[in-house]
Amino acid sequence: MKKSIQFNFRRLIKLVRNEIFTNYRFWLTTIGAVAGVWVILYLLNARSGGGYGFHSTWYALILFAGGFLLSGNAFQEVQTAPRGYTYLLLPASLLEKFVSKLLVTSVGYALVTGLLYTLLSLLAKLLATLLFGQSLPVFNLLDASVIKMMGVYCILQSIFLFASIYFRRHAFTKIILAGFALLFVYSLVLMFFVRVIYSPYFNGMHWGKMMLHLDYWELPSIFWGLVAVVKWSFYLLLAPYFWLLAYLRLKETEV
Amino acid sequence: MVNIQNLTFAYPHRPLLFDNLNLNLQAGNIYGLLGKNGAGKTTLLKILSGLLFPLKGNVEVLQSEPRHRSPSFLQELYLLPEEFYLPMLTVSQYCDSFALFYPHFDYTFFQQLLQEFELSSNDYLPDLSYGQKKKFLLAFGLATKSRLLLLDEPTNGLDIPSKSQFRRIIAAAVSDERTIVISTHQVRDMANLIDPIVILDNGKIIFNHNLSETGQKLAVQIKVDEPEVSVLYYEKTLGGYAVLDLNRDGVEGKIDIELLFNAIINKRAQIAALFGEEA
Repeated sequence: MKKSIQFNFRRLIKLVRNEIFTNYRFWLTTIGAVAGVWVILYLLNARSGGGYGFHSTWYALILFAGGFLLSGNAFQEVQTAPRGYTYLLLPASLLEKFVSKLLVTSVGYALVTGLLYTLLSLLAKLLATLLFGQSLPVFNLLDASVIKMMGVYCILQSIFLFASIYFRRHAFTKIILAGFALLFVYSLVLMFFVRVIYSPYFNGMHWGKMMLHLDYWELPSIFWGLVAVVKWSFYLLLAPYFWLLAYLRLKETEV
Repeated sequence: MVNIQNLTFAYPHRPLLFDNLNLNLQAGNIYGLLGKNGAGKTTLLKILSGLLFPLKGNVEVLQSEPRHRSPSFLQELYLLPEEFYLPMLTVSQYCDSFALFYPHFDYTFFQQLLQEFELSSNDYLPDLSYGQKKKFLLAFGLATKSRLLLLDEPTNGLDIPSKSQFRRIIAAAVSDERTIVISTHQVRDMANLIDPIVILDNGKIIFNHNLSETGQKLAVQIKVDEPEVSVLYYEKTLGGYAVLDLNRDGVEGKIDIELLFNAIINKRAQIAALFGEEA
């Protein structure tokens, strides 16, 4: 049996190019529609002299909602019969195919939306100044909070990317519902522990009138150790874990 | 080129489709893969191309295991499925996006085929008819110069002139290094094209012989009166009976593939014995 190179950088570039180019009509339409709505909202805010937190809200919405939608649909084409044939039979390794989707939906999406948002905010500022003599501040792509937001997006999108290959249909809706279900279970468990641990403060199922005094800095060091583990697991392990799961799932996909 | 040993396959929660199926395909032929509805022709093509994985058995295609879908394997294989998807691109944009992945892609040949099929580089793919889309994909597949071409019902949706065009182009495309497998129900469209004939039935390959070998053992006759029961197989046709029987005079005659297929399905044991095989 022949062995072949499983990762070739040139093929990866071709795949990334195809990811963007074969859907360019969709991208242009979506960008046009979102940009149109956004400019109107910007001008309304600029005219009223408000707009505090406008960019942080709207950029977060575009980055997270748009990015999750994109990631949640990234591998859906593989699951449907005729599209899946084209995708799976394209002469590139599954690792290259996976990495190309990952790059486009994570770092690629975050950077492109960031750059477009910056450009659009500059144009909108110019327009608002011309029309009303006042405008909102320019969006700063290099702001620490924006960069952190992009980082968090790249981590969280891995869950949606995995969902897109795990679920055959409606991956985005299913992962949102699964998220709500997990949150509900988590809330129930948390409520149970709070009720048990702080039972003296409760009157039946009602919280008593006593004030619960919690001084975080007096908590045992094991608590802070645990917080650090959860925090660094989120930053370092969550995304690779879901990427690996998604890749393995892609390897065993049949159509 | 293709070597399948003891292939077992079933779709989830369904009975076995293939049970210890064996198949060997040699380079330089245009194989006709025939079978009844649901016999598993399309499934077999999918397994050969790595879209589906066997439950058991060995599948070796172009010296690779298809399930790994390695780039070198995919560069040498082209599947034209019956149902296909084309992106919202023009012919030339599609070519620019996908031909890059095939190292032996012949752009000049592709342009020649487009001309022959009366397609233009500026045609927008979603606007083409089903038959035109099929011709476009066939032209692309042939231009990839892949060594194994798998065609699933390629003449479905083609008009009459396109069918003869198809036969001519496919006949010219085969070479010593290249194998073409055509899965079809339209055996009349494939007359003088497919050889050898591979017949799939009840989860097994029940016939895999070329027409010359078959013509030495079997002969077709047209009779006006109903033949005797002792003949191998016969069926009523317009104005008489088509009879498939032993070739007693030793002169190799032309075999009607449809009649052969029906005879094999109905008289499997007798025909297998004639070829020295077990039914």
